Amino acid sequence: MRPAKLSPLVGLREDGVRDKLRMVVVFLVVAVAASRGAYLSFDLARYYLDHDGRTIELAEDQAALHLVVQGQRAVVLLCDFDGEREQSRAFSAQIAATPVALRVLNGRYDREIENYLRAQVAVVLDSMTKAREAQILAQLMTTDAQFYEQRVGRDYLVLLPGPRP
Amino acid sequence: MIAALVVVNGLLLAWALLPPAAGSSNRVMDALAFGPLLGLGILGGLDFLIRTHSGGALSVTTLLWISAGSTVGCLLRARCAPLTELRPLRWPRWETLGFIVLLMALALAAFFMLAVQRAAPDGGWDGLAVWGLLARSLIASPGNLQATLAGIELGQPDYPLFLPEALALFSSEELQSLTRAGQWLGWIGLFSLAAIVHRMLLRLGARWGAHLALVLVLTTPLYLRLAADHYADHLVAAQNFAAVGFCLLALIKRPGRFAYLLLAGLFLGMMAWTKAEGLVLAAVIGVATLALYPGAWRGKLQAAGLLVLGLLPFILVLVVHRLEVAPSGGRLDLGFGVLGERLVDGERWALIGQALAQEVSGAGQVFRWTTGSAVEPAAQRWGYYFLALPLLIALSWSRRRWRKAMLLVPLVTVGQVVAYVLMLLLVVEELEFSLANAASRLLAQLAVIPLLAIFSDLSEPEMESEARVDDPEAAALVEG
Repeated sequence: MRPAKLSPLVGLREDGVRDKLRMVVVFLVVAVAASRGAYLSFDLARYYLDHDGRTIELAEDQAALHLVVQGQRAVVLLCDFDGEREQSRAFSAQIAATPVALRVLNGRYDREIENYLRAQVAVVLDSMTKAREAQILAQLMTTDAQFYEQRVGRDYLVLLPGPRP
Repeated sequence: MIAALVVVNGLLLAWALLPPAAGSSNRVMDALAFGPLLGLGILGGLDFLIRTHSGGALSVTTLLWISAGSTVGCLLRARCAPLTELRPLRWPRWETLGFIVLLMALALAAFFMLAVQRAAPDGGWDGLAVWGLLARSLIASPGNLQATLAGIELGQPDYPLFLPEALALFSSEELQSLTRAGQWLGWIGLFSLAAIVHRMLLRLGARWGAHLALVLVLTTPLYLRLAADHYADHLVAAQNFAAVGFCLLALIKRPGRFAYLLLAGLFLGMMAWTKAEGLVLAAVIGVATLALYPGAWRGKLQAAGLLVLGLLPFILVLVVHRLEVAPSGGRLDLGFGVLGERLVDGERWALIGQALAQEVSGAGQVFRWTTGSAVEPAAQRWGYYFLALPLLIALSWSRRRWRKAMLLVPLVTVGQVVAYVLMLLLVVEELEFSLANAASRLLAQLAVIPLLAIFSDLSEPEMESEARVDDPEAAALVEG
């Protein structure tokens, strides 16, 4: 017996008006869902396009992580965490004992940090006044000229160890 | 070079293992769909063993030897099964409109990926804090991995290493290229998901349905986001879909059954090697498949053996990872009596229900996920995906004379949701935090599974004889 011919759409049999109608409805449902998804995706892509290059609003911890993942031995993150974020608690407990360590010293600049700097780490300065930033930079440059500065995005000043490339 | 060899080996493996089928007779396309993940999974596992035990890494020379072996395997396979099914690509006339829509969806996905990768080249938070840090640890201190991971208090240092291994294999000696490796893997992951959905549905008898499913997946914002952000959940979704699809094929097809079970085992193992919850998802699929497997206990035992054979390489790396590398401690509270206590905790149930309802309906703003600094409502992650699913299920329901094998899809879907709920009941972290961060991604891992029931065509007992009418060459191969 010759088998019934199947329609190209989802295997529906072309043996009745009801089935053809159902094919049309399947198409419509997928078309509406896909259009909505496409619109939302396009909208989100436009949001990203408005933020050129690395200027997307990276959280300070994300900027520091970028450095660690890219191979910095350790990063000291000087910033004022709001104290609410889960990550800040995890950061605070982190000690620069491993190749992938991070250290956060909530906005303090002291002997401890200087020791880290001398041990060739990178620094991210964030959430500070320009005057404070300049003061820390001046201190660093007088104590050790082996750091060079590099901006990550708009807000992050990073000091990387080694001679300026 | 290493990245290219890894992918090529995956393609050869997929080409050699996949049996020909009536609906999906172009094995080159099949290899392109299933190969990259197979290559990354198996060779990533091998690289992990080399890194942890010798301190080195998979070299180009070793990979060339493996490639030579794979090529010989493929040639032997070709001698056993002649290459008549390897036909040139034809332009399908009746599908022109579908292809235009498909190309539009592909263009949108590509535009999205380029836009996000340009603005945020390092990906999202997990891309850096979880997968990036793990990959960095693998590269920086392979011989001392346990101590390195034990020192990381950020992210998930105990997570399995499919994606970190892939990142390590794709980045060269120059550590700066980790960002680029993440971007490449984002593209591979997204298009593997899309291609696996498409090719699997064709193999399961769908025609237009495969295209419709592909368009649905490629226009769902969350899948695009996960790929662009260098996350792993879309990879688990692809592996989940492949594993359930191969199990379904093993249940309904006598020819090629062994190969399908072996492939299902490989993808089940890969799920467990990709994310911690993958192990539970894989167990659900394995149990459901064996429960529905035809025949007496001897047949079921044989099927279980083949699944385990596929799982074996990943069981090995998972055991080594757990015993020698992963820091102790877990994410689930498995203390005595905890489950009983949590099962009657009404507040926990209410929170989980609320979070899942918000994801599925898109309504409400209780559990918030952020995009950069913008708060993102659930509706923006899924669009109308979860609204469309029940409608499509209802539309496909009445036309079918269901085969018993098709029960696998609802069994797996329900089983995996139950497994998630149990995991969320037992999670150690604060529940609101877990739900806000993970509920959408957990759903993304299984949201593609119902497409198997909606768009495949397993209801027709004469499907294979149908193939004989449409495509005599392929039908002859199906019949062995």
